[in-house]
Amino acid sequence: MFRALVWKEWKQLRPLLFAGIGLGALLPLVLVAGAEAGRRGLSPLGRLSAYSTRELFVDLLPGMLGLALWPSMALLATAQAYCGDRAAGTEWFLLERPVPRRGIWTARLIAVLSMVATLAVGTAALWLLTAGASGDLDLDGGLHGLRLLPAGLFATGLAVIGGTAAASFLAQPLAAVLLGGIFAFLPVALTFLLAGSFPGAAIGGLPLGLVTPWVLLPAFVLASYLGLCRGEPGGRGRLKRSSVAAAAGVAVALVSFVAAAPAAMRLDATWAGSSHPPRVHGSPGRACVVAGKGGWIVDLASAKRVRFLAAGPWGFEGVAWSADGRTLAVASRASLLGGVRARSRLHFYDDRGRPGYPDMTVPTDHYVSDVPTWAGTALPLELWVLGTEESELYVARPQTGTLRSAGFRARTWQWGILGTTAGDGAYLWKLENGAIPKGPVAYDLMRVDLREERVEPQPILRDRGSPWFAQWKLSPTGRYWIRLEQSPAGWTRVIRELPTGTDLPAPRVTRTARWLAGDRLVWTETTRGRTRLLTALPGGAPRPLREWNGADIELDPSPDRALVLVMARPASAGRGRTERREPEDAAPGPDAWESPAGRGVVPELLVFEPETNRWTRLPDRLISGVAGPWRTSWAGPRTIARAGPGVVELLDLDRLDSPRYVLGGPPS
Amino acid sequence: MSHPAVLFEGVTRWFGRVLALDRLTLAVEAGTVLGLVGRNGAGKTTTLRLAHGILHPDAGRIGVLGLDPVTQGPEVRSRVSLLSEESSLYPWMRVGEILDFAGRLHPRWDPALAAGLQRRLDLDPRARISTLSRGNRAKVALVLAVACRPEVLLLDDPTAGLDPLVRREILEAILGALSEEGGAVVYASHLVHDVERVADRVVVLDGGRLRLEGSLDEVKGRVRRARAVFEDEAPSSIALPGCMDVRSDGRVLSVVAEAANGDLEAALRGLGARSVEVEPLSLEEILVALLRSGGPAAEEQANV
Repeated sequence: MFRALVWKEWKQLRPLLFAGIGLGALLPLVLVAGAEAGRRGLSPLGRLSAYSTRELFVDLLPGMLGLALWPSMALLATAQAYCGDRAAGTEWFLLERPVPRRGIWTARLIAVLSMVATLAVGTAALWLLTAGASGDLDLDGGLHGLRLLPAGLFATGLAVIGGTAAASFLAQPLAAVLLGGIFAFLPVALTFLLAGSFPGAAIGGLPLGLVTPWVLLPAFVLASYLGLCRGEPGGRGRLKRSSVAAAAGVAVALVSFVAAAPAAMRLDATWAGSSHPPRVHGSPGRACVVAGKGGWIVDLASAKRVRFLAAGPWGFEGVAWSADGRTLAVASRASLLGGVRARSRLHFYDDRGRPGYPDMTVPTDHYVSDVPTWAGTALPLELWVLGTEESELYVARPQTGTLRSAGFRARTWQWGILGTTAGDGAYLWKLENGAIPKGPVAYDLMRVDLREERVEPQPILRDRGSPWFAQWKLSPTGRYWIRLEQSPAGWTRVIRELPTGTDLPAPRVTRTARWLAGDRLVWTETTRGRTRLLTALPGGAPRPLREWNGADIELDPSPDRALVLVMARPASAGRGRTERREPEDAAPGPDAWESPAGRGVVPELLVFEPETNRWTRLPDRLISGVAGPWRTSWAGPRTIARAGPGVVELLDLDRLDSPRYVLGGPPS
Repeated sequence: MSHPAVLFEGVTRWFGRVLALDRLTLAVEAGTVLGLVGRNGAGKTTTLRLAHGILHPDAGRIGVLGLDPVTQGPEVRSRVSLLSEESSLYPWMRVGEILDFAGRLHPRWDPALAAGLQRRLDLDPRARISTLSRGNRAKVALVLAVACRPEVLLLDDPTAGLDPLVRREILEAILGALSEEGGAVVYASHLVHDVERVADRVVVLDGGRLRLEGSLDEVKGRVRRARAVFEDEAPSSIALPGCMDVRSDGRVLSVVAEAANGDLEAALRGLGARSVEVEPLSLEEILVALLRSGGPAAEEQANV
């Protein structure tokens, strides 16, 4: 029975097959004739004359076969197979026989696929013969056009499915061809629409929008099957069944996208964290773990991810905790479901991950340039101005929902916000002249009055060095500044008291100096391979803390600056860009060496608590870069985060043997 | 347990807002020929397609050979053939091809019977369907319907539009096949004479409702025409139970009514008729009178 059905359908499709092969045979002639006519100024297809015969045969023809002839013939054949009998009034012949309609439906599909396959093989053979006979089939030259053939087969498959679905709606083959073309294009259009509008909804770089619209294909097949094989053979309810199935397909494609997009963004961030260590932004209250195009607000006590933050396809433009760790400011262009906003937006979350304050959108044609910096309850922002090479200082006040310009604008990369003062103020740096020379550069330190939302016109200090690292030079209260001074012995760093403008006689620190709470300084000095860690208050005498041989020391203050993480690594391993870009220190004299504190081994990781003078040694496995691409940093006032591929581990200083995992788990 | 060949129980079918069949109840026993008559749109074709499982009822139940055509469509169609006025034949096929094609689709196909019918009806197996006359196409459709040895044959005006010779040929072929098979036939047609020739029982449909049902002899015996002559002007209207048609022409009153002989004559004499002649009617005359009268449906009154 089934063979008889296929035979009948095949016989009905044969004229189309012959027509298709005929067209395939004519195409080379049409192209050559068109090109020749074009050269003589006659062809309506004038551009063909720009192609050589080889290009026409080897590059253009396979594309025309695969992307035009096969899909269009497939659409025609499908419409003819599924609508032809109804249009001709012969559908009743089979309906009146004891034939299951699914058998008829399947036989038609097999006949269509056989016809299309025969057409593809036939026209491809004709192409090979034509191109071979013309001597243009140069396999060594690369058959670039062949790369279009898989796309052609895909388009042909789409055409068959679209035509099958259309035939369940319409009885006229020509109308079904048109509707089938729409159906075939619909998943492609939806793919472009979703992937283009929601690029952030992606997993491993694959936009979700490229996946879910293809649900439409089985839905279209189902629509055709339900329309033509179920219900009353006489046709009542066919349109309804097909419509419901097709509409359900569209709904599933959209709903599955909507439902899967948030999960995809989370999964993508998790996967991104598997290949690159996530970045941990610590605060006194919570931490923010950023991985790939997303991040989480993390509860330090439980390591639970309390809220996911979508970053959008280009990642976060800035993440900054307020000084008290109760408010997180995030700048991004992320929109719903992985969409992208035309303008950057500032989001504020409280420590429970709930929206803390209303979002703020940056003004038109402005983009967030740098990580926002909290200054008390205000947030000075550097915003790029589109179409210019300048950026402008804005002040955001989440409590009042205002975002206003401070009236300061300069060339981008030649100024920046560097820190805040104890009052309602901040500082910015600005290069003296427009150029950015290599090496140490002169720049001005300028005070920002956040209450007045303006920059004081006169610089309070002119310094040298690398302004990119100027934020490390300002003390937490904003009272002191580590100024760079050139002396015959080399570069030295002098503490200046900003309110009075006077330099303090001591201590002389090095480029490694970091500020701790209470404006305490820690820094290292290295002489002849020996490195010593020192601490002092501005104006006070340095106190040696510890020394190492052949070590590079990295100092990282905790979020509340009460502790400092001291990482000692072999001298050859740990030198980063920071040290290279800052001017070298003048070497201290040998008499400066007194080592009352303990000797350190290399490598080692320590936490120093200046208040109690207490040292805590952490496990060596936490040392950044020692065991693979792992990074250890602060997550909270007394919590260390160890981030590596696929794992973010939290360790309390008081309970180092009880790690908690934000991502991943303990090694098996 | 024996089932009627075809059983309709309160079957209703709508086409959009048009009521095609209204609570139709009928039964066709095996070995009988049921004539289904009625005007255009009466519901004859709908009834046959419902029995064939091509249409589904909106209400009621249908049984064909004990099968449910809604859920067992292919099984029903393997034992029931539908031969319709406009048989859908593939115009590009040859006669031999279409018979062979149909034979491969049908589990009960009898090639010998098909070949015999083809010869008897003088069909050229090499002729394309598109080149055949209407009569020859009807013959091909007949072979297709009969060669599968159906237990029920549903005929939907298969001889409409054919010349008398072909009509006779086809009817004879149907009768011949029936006499061999002993199956049930439902014969729907406008050609009441043809129905009268072959039907054992007759059903009159009107507006989707059953108006009259019974054996041919019962129907003919029950409905009579009386010609009454009055002394003076005949009354223009009379009130008689079962009256279908009344025509008055001077002193002569012609009445078609569903009543026993004596009752009709007595009723007319009671109205003052001087003489009354009662005569039997042909099925066509009964049908015309019934459809003109627009009286109550069979379930309510005219059940014979």
